[in-house]
Amino acid sequence: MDDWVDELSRGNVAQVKTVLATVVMALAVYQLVLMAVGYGKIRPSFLKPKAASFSHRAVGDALAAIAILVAFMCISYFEVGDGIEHAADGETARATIHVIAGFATLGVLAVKVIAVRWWKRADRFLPTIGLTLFTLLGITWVTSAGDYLWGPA
Amino acid sequence: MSERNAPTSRKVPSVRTQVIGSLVVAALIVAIAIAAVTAKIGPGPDAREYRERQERLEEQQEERLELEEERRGNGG
Repeated sequence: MDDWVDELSRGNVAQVKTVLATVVMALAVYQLVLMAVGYGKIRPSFLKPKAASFSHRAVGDALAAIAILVAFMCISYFEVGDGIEHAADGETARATIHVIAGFATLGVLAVKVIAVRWWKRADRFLPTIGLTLFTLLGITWVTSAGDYLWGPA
Repeated sequence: MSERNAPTSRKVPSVRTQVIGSLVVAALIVAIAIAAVTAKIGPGPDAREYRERQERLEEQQEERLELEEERRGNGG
């Protein structure tokens, strides 16, 4: 499987993962703004809550697909144990936090999709679930792509 | 007529236009994120370079296997 990921990214697995993870993070910030409009916390004249909520759902579907692809690339290529064991000196803590936050992100993402599509009684928890998901995505991004882009060389 | 009761001249776009506009903004965000990160990390090897690198690795692996077989043949 890791050969396929390597071929898919033409040997630039970390770089492709960094680009995709940054796209996910940027869209997550936009999602936060869209839902602030959706819940009426921000009231721009050019965007109404109904349209903002609809766009939030559409962007969220795309975001989930990209996030799952990044997770798949990460797990199949770097593997969980190897990622932590082979981390450079002083990087073990970062790698461990990344693995934990990454798995927690996938779990909360699954809960959010279930709550939105099938578990209608959980509607009132959606803002909390969404904010938790955003925080976990942020931690996952900072401990991987953020570190790759701005961390120590 | 007071300012509060004055008719608004700005027309709010339809829901469809609002949705399309917000999705276009999402696409722009994706494009900007890709451009910014690519500018920061630089372009990777192109397809030809990658294929050449793979071929070189395969050749090295084959050579190593042949050497190992030769060594085994000489030893036994």
